[in-house]
Amino acid sequence: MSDQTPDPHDELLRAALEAEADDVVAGPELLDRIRTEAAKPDRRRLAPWLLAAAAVVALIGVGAVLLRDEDQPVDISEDPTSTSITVEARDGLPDLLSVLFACDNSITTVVYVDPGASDDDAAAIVERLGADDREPAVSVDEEAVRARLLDRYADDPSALRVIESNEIPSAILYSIDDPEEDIDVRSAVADMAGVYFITSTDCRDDPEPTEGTDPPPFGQPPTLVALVREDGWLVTIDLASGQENELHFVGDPNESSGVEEGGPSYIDAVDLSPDGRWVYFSTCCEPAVGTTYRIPIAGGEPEQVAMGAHPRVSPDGRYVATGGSEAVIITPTPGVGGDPVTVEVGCCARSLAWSPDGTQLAVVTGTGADGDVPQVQLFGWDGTALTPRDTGKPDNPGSFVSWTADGTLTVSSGGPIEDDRSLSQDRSYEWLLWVDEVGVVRQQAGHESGDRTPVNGLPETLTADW
Amino acid sequence: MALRPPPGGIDLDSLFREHATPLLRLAVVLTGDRPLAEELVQEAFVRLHRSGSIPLAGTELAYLRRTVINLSHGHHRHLRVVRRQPEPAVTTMPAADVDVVRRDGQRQVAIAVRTLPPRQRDCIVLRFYADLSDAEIADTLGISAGSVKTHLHRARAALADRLEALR
Repeated sequence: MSDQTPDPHDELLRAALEAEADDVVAGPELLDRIRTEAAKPDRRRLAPWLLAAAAVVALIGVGAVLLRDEDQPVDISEDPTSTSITVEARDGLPDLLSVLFACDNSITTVVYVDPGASDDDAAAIVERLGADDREPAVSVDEEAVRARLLDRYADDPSALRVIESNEIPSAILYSIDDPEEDIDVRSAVADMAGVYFITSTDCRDDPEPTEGTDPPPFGQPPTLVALVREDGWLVTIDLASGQENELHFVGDPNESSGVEEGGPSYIDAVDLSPDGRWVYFSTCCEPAVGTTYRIPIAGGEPEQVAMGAHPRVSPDGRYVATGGSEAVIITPTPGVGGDPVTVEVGCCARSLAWSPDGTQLAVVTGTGADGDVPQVQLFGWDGTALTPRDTGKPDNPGSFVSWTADGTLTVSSGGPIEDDRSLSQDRSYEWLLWVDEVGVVRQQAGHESGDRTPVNGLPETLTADW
Repeated sequence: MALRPPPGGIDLDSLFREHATPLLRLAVVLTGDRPLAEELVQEAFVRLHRSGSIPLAGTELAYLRRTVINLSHGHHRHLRVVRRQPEPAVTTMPAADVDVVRRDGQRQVAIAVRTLPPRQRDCIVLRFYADLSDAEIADTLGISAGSVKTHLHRARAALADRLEALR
């Protein structure tokens, strides 16, 4: 069944892997466990305690809370004040729910799971919070968490508020007012509490500064690219100097990978904001929907910004378009008000491209497998709604879309790049980059020629040495 | 992957009989950890049950397989710890123990596979253990067939020395 040229090592590899599990049989005890677990209430549904937690946090005066239906795209609360709290579920990752306590980057809330809680209650809470590992959460030493917090804030005890509520008998909320954004402490506490930890996000009514480098004019050679290196590192490459920069995620205790600790675990698509300040990326999916984050260009803490995968930031930087399992989602970027807009497009939206003026969005849908020919769909975008547009062709097969500088939609059947790991900064077809099969960064030289020419001045290889 | 509502509820027993052992074996190959593998398989079945929908006929195994692989990524950081442990050196054994040597070599190859970057590991296991084509691997992992080729190429290169020692 292999599509590959036979290799002398193939049989050895096959034998080695088969030997690993040739005596493994799924026994009746496993079936019993599955039956037992399946018979339990679905704890991925909104848990009553989470509603109670939202209510408690709201009561302490830090803003409004909006809980969303997990079957809908992410719904961000619009809070009239400068502070807000958002509790949201990750679409497509129903049991990896994240809780974002979003404010003005000064309040972080860590939920501690009471070791006295029943295993079921604790597991449900931890599961709701998306903890990586349930075991530490149900056995965590509450005193250690408290001591660590008190020690950290010994000089400024007012920064730490411990919120204990009878309404949440199995959890304690620590509200930390720490303007210095002590990421290490927060991460450590989160680790101790066994809580999947995401820090605060920007307040939606507190637009971020707009200073930064201007994007290159559409259609001009890119100066910077972001891509996922083969070993999983998110990297940027300055095309002028060839300098490669690994983007480290804050909170990675192993200092070994930027993509596995304390946040997203699997990056499958990247894009740069037009001003070059942010790298947007999506994590892989289950089974077809991902989550989109962004990270400062110099590295830092990932911030969840949208549901869906394959992010494409609009030319004005105000919106990020993503593909959900059955929909295209346009989400305002942090600091830009408004709700996400969703349009059903059918299965597997994966190649998205904004027109240079940001008024149109092209999307490829379909799996491309088993005769399901990928189709190109075109939408108009006016800042509030996506409107289907005629592509001008009776049918629209294609697996990759991009735009030329003059605003012409370009559709490719095979794709100038074979996956979605690399993009030019200006996102135009002329300057698409990709990593070839031996790890060399290459660019598309001329949008019609199909010629592929190595980019001068780039590293020989991007393959990591581990 | 399209889902359909089950006409009479999801028949866990039937799905288990048909798919549990190959799934568990796949999970063991991916993780090298039997208890963890059972946990992943259990979770995959439970999620399918709770989803209220089942994959189209004939695609149940692919759906469950994809779930197990995705779940295994959540445990990758634990595997990374294992990765940092010094691997046992190949030792010289008497001729009579040639089977032992061969088994030891195979085990080291399997360990090496599990220390690959996750997507390379997935591709290698799906190709050489699950015997899937490029297109099937691409569909399972949600990536392009071209990416599958790239991952396989790099993974093979990374494993070449270890495989050569086995020949």
